[in-house]
This record gives sequence, structure tokens and C-alpha cells, in this order.
Amino acid sequence: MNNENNNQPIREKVLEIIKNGKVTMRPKWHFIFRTSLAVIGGMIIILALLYLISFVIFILHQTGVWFMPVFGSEGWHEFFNSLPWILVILSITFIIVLEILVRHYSFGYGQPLFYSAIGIIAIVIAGGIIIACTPLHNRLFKYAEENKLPFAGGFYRGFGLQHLDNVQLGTIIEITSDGFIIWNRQNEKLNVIVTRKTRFPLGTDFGRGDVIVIFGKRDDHTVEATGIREVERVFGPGMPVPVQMPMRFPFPFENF
Amino acid sequence: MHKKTDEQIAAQVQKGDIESFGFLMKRYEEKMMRYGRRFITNGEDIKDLVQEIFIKAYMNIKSFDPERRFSPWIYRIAHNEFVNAVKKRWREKVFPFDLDLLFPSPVAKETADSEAHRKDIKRMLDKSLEKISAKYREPLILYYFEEMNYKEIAEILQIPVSTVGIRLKRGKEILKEIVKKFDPIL
Repeated sequence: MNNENNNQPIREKVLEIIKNGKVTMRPKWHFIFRTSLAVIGGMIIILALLYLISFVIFILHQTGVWFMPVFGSEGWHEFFNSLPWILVILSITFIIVLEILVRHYSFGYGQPLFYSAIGIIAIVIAGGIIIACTPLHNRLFKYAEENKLPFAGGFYRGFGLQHLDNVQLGTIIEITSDGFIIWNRQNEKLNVIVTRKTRFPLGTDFGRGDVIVIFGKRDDHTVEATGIREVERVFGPGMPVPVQMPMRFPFPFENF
Repeated sequence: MHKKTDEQIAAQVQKGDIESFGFLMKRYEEKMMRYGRRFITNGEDIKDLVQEIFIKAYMNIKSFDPERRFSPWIYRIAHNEFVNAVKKRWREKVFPFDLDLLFPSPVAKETADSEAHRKDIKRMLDKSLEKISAKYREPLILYYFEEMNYKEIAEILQIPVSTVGIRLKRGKEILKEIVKKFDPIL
């Protein structure tokens, strides 16, 4: 143990370095600036996350994918198949970055990773749902459709007007002998065929003007429905809806 | 100066009193050397690292809040310095990610070891330190040699307090197994 011999030189050497001006004390503002940058960075990530998650929820409603799980295991399969995975992966990346940032502070590292991650996920999902319920995305989407949204227009049109093979969402404009004709967001008229195998998990009380989502294989402008359900317009599909007509979906299918 | 607390001296350094930093170094030099020697087991040039720790402490002294304790603050700097040295020089795996950080652990309460028990553990640690992985080694060193409490160790290692308890408990168990295996006389 030669601590005594070692002690003096270290102390003196460090003091000499300091006195020679080779090392200077960082000013207080340096740390305030760094903390501010971390806070601003964290806020930007949270806002980006809220935007992304609310956009994903909006898009899932817009395309009808959100309602797929009601059709059972096949519906769940379709749900996961049709998720905008690029946006989901981007959101997960932001969550990881936020978690890394938070773990530099005692309120972050003081908790097991599981708790802080669950906390972050719960907050951003709840916030995303709340934002998705506001007219924000619907308005931006309308502007995008009218080419009035210069920056994110393509983004909204690309995700919101995408064609999905097995999920169609639209407004009933006509009841036919074997199903309906719907009008979708892409301004297409689709002939929906209802068969004995078609499932109606929420009943068959449909009429003209109702917005429905159809789960089933599309072939050109015809869809053979595996399942149909009405959609509540919480997130506003934004499409022009014909005046509600008294005509209801009848009928022989109710007895199936 | 001798009667002043570390925090009071640090506050003086923050105001530009360089000599006061000399007093702080005097108080911590031996502790840092001892911490380094027990943390780094391969004959590392600890002196250079301790010098680097003090330089970093001086540069960043204005980020220290004198309302809080000084010792966990400087040990945090030392921890980073030693961990980086270990990573750089020996490419030793220094628990970048651990399952016991991921999931909540049962709350491990701080236990008051008897003086005799503490001495036993310290003796065992001295003999078998290098055989214990870094993950368990560091909390054991901080608890038994630097006499820090769970909260201070948690602050230095930036892990939950409950994880400190778990690592100390497992560390002691591993230590006893090692002693039984390699040095049954102890």
C-alpha cells in the first residue's frame, strides 16, 4: 500500500492543471442548456409519438382495419396483416429512444424498465386515442384529398386511400337482391355480395346511408362478404353520406 | 475547512475557490484509489483514472446541487470512468442490459449487518473479488467498503433501489459459494 506516496502527486497535478488553465469549470448555463435540450428533445419525441399513434389509429379507422377483430381469428389475422408496420416500427423506435432518455433521470432509472416502459406506452397510447378522437387528422386528410396540404398531403393520401384486398369501408347507397352497393372513400362503387356464410357480429340492421365495414375478398368491383358490421363514426370517415333513407337491409338473411 | 461538509466545500469550489477543490481531493483521493483498486482487478494504472475523475469533477462541479450529497455524485463520475476503462482495456462485459433491471423485483429491504458479519464479508471480498462478475462486484464494494446505503448505490449505478438489494443478496451468495469452493479455510 503506497497510498501516501501516490496521494500528493495526484492532488498537486490536478491543481496544477487547473491553475494553468488547461482545464476550466463548465459554466452553469452549459448544464442548463444540456438539460433544456434533453427536455425539448423528449417533448419533440412525445409529440411525434402522439402524432404517429393517433395517425395510426385514424388510418385504421379510415380503412376499416380497426374493426376487423370482431370477425374472430381471421379478423385478427387480417388486422395484423394490414397494420401500417412502418409507422408501428417508427413508433416503437421513438418509444425506445424516449425510454433511453428517461433512464438518465432518477424518475426513470428508479423504476424497473418494465414499469417505465409500460408507463410511457400507456401515456402515449391514451394520448394518441384522445388526439385521434379530435377532428385534427380528419381535417388534414380532407385538405390532403383536395391537394391543399403541401407537406403531409402524400402521407395522408398514401395511407388513407390505400387499397386493401380484404377490408372495405364505405357507405351503403343501394340495397340489392343479394347484398348492397357501397360507395367508398376512393369514390368507387363496390358491389357487396352477402351469402349464407356472411357473419354479422353486430346484427343486420343496415340501411342506406349507413357506414359499414366489409371483411371479404375483393375481385375488381365485387366483394364477397365474409363479415359485415356497421361502423360508428367516432373518427368521422369524412365521406359524403347520402341522406338516410328508410329502406333497411331485410330480410331473408336475417333468417339464416 | 476541516469542519466543513463536502457539500459546503463543493459550493465554495463552484464560486471559483480552487484551493477548496484541493481539500475535496484530499478527502476523496484515497477513497477513489481504493474504489478503483477493488473495481479494476488487473493492475490498472488507477492513478491516471483517479486524476481523470478529479478533472471531470472539477469541470462539472457546477452541475452538482449542494443541497444533495456530494459523495454519490463523485462516485457516479468514478463509476463511469472505471466502467469505461474496463470496457476499453479488457473488453469485459459490463452489464449493459440485465433482466433484473427489466422486471420489478421483490422489494429487498436494507438490512443492518452486524459488525462481525460485515468484517467477514469484507475479508471474503478481499480474497475473491476478481472471481465475482462486475454486476455483483460493484454493489458489494460500495456497500461493504465504501459504506454507502442502498439509495446512494442506486444513484451511483442508476438502477432501482430494489435491484441494489437483489444484487447484494445474490452477490453475497455467490461470494460464499466461491469461498467454499476455492478457499474453504476462510
